[in-house]
Amino acid sequence: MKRIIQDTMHRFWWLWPIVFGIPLVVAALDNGNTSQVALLWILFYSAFLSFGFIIAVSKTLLTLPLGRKQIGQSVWLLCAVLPPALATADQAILYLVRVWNPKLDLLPPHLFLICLFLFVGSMGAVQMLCIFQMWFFKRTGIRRNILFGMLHIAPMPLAIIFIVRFCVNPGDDLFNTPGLGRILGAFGKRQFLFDGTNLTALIAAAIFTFWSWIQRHQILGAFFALSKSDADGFFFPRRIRTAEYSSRAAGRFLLCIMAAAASVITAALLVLTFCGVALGAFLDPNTEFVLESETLAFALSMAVTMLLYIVSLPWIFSIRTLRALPMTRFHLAFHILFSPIVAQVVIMGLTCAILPLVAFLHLDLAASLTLELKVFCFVLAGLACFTLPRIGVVVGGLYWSVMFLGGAFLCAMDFSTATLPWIAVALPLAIVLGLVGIYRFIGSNYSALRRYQEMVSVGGK
Amino acid sequence: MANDALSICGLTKRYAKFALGPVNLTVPQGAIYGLIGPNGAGKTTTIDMVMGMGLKDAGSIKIFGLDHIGQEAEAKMRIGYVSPDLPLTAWGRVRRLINFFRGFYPNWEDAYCLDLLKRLNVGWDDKIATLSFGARIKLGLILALSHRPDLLLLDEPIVGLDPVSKQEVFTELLEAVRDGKRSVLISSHDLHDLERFTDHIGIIHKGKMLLEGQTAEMVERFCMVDGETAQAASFADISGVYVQQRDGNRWRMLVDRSNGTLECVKAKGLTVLGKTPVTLEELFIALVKED
Repeated sequence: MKRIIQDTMHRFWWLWPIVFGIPLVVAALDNGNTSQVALLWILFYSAFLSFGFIIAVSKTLLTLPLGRKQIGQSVWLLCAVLPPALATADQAILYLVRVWNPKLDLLPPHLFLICLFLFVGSMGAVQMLCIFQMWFFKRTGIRRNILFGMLHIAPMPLAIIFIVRFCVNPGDDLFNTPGLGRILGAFGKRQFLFDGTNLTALIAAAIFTFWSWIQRHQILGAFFALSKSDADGFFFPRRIRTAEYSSRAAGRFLLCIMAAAASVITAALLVLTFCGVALGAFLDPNTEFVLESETLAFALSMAVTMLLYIVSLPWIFSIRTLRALPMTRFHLAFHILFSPIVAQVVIMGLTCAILPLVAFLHLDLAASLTLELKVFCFVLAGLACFTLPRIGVVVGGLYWSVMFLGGAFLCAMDFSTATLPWIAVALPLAIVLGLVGIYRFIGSNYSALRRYQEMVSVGGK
Repeated sequence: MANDALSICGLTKRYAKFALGPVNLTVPQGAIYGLIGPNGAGKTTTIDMVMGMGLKDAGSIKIFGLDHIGQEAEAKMRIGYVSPDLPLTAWGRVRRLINFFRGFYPNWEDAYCLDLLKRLNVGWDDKIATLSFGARIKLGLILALSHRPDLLLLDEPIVGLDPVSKQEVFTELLEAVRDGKRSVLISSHDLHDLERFTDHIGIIHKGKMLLEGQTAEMVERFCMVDGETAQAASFADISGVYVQQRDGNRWRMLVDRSNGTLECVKAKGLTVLGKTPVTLEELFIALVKED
């Protein structure tokens, strides 16, 4: 176990300073208003390691003289415990910075609690599902499985908290108008208060829940039921449908359904929220909106990121097949280069289409976008392409590069309202990553096309 | 039995579209066992089950008497596993991968590992992602051999290799098992190579073990019989008879000679025109075709 952890930390050496350092640097230089940082770190860091583990090394680890319990514990420590632990530590240090410099804004306490909760939740729960053998689930029964599963899916209670708040005590944070029906009819109140932090946390809860759902299946698939067909199928639906999953692990299957439901509910809430705003504004132009618009930008960026992952995955796994097909160079280039990009651009376009709509509804969006969130989303999302396999870089490289440079451009444009530390940290990083992304993208595509060319010339036209 | 390197008893695994088993298989200590079968027969699934990559539905798997799940670490300590599907690229370079692996095996031999690297022409500092397919198989073999395992599990290690690489791999394997104490389970559908290399054979098809035993004995046991009958007859229902071809009253069939089947066939009216020994390849094709 120690060796696996050491090896993984060694292989992902470049991630550690980023994970731990940047939020601290930014917080120290800026006014400490980096509360979302920790959540994002957890999400992406978990994703990185999970990809590294599940896709790259799980089968190899199973050939080593280790018990699966040890392997499971290693995965659990690295993918589930360490990220929130780091985030908690980050947050704690930020608090210390706050004590050291009282002029700094106090971090929202519940974000710290979220990190802490994720950490504690992962400590107690993920290992149950990672390291215990099948008999454990058989013996303990479905109800206990659900309990452990709920503990495991750490964001799920978070989602529940928000749902409960929303339905029972809606005047608290999320809106200043009560009840689900008020979303659609809230224009009567003539005022909406979008608390950015809460909305961010809501989105984070949805994303975390969704991610946990995937991650959990991958871990289980890799260490409990890794069969040829399971291993070949990267995505979870096929595995869920198999008899093995439905009969042998009914409790866990149910959990997945619950997690999915939580994802859907939180996502639906989000959509309803935006719809409510739009409808309210449409029906009563005098409605007053108080929107922390950086939250909207953040939400959109995250939504796009997740959608891109989903859209890119089939392409990532099909490009190799496409290369083997007797296609012309143009068609190949189109498939490799343009189709995913077109799909991404369509999604991005649809997402961005909301912005003018919101602007049309008299929301002073553009002026109040905070710089750090823009850059932060661009940079973080862009990092993803470096952890994906080479083909993933092909798919996502150009897109993310554009995002990087776009982010850098926005930074420059927003210079007057920006804080210097953000410019100092984020702008160079964004530019460097953007250039590297372009370089890798071009390199990958160029070599892919060359291989195709060689294949055609060797095979005879 | 503790004396057997690998003992699989009643192994069953069901998927939505494929069912393995029940499979019974025994690899005696010191044996080189060839698990042969067409694509999708269940060879890899069987080996995956042995390595704990998936949960069996029923049956038992013992490695030197150790339960493959209950005493997983101890069992795997004695196994060397090679598969072309093994993902190794995450470690970046050969040296990092070897440094990672060697830590898990107390009896890892550095000198032997370096020697293998040299002989199989794999560079210590090579980037794994840039290695050719054959070189990656060789790297897997180096990792498997360097800790001197008592049992080698080789899942189609020669598929896709050029003749030179194939020869190198076999040479190293033979060198590794020269002392007669180590056992090998090798799965493949390349019968030509396996026939020369193995001393035990198991033929698996559609998840079922059709035949198992010592290679020489099995080849000896079967023969191809050409014959004719004076009147209409049916031999398909006789156990140990695998009808290959029929042209009117003329028959060509594979006959198991071990239990008096040939006499039974003759008693049913077949006049034997010719009787030829079979090669492993003919035997395999005949069994699979009949099945």
